Amino acid sequence: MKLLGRKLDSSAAAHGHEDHVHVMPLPMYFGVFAALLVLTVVTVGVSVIGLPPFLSIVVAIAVATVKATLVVLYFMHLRYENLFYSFIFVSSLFFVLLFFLFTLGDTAFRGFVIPEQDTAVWRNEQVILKREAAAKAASESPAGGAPAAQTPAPSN
Amino acid sequence: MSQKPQSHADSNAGHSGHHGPKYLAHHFFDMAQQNASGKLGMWLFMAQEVLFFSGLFLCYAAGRYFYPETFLAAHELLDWKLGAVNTVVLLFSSLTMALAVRAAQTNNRKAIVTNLLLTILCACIFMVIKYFEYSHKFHLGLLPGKYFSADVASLGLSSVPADFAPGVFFGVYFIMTGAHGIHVLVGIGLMIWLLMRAQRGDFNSENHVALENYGLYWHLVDLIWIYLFPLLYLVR
Repeated sequence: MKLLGRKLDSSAAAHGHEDHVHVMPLPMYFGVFAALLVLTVVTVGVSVIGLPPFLSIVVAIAVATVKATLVVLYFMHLRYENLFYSFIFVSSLFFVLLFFLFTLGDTAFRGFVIPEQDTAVWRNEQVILKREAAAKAASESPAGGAPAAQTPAPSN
Repeated sequence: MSQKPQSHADSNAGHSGHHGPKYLAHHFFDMAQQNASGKLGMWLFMAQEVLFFSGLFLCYAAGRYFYPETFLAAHELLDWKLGAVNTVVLLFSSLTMALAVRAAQTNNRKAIVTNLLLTILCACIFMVIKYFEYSHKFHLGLLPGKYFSADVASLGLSSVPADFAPGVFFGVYFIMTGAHGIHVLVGIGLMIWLLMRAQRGDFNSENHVALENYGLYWHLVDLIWIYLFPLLYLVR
């Protein structure tokens, strides 16, 4: 099957003749290297200029991703290969994304629900504690102290 | 020149039971299939390596999330200029590695050997710089986790946060650069083996998938450093 004009099939290994191996022209190698050097200078330059913390991480990762894309497409030759290899590589990135989303999602929202204040169990415990404290106060103070406060119905 | 690829007709003659050039394993139909199988395996390994390092990067993300000021302060103890030099060295080594593969594609044995030598040289320069960085840190007591023993006041940091946890930062630093460094060392070893094979004339335009696959590994090592450098050395 062909997709985007290139082969995409998992039987890449099963086929007979592959297409003639694509040799990239020499200037392309040096061009990619020059671009990578420029992007390195940009990375350092942006950090020296200084940005607010969140933005600086985003920009640093964005520039690094552009460099990574160049390396993967051209040095690793993925641009000219059977699309199945791209599929394998991109799917690993997808799972990394999933990994980060779930883990950092948990990390960032810890303490969002504070168990001590937000559950029925805690609320019931407070009621019982109040009742006990009142009963204790009533028995310690001279008899005839105000009866214990009416216990509110436990609510969910 | 490296040995030119042999056509089926040539190698069939006079070889009993041998169905292709001597570098074609008997269980493959032809070189195209053999090469594609090799490349498929290697790309699966690349996917694994990405996932492997993603765990370490997540560790960095969690550390930085909980101790942002620590990361900001402690990174001053890393020399970003050395890191930048290492970045350029690795980028150049990626170039020479890609050129080595291209040389194999064009049957240029001498160029394969030259480019592999350059790549090995760059890798060694990287490790030497890494050695200086590490030994400087050991000397100062900037060690991971509970082994951190430097006197914080004498480090000359511009600002020390109240919840300074340098052990966390250096734990992340040493694990990430250490795992990466081990990959570079293993890479150097493999490259020496490939260099010997290239010198022997093993590689030609039809049979160079070992070189190509190693190239993938080496570019991945470079990729990881491309991400490590700004995240560890350029925290501002």
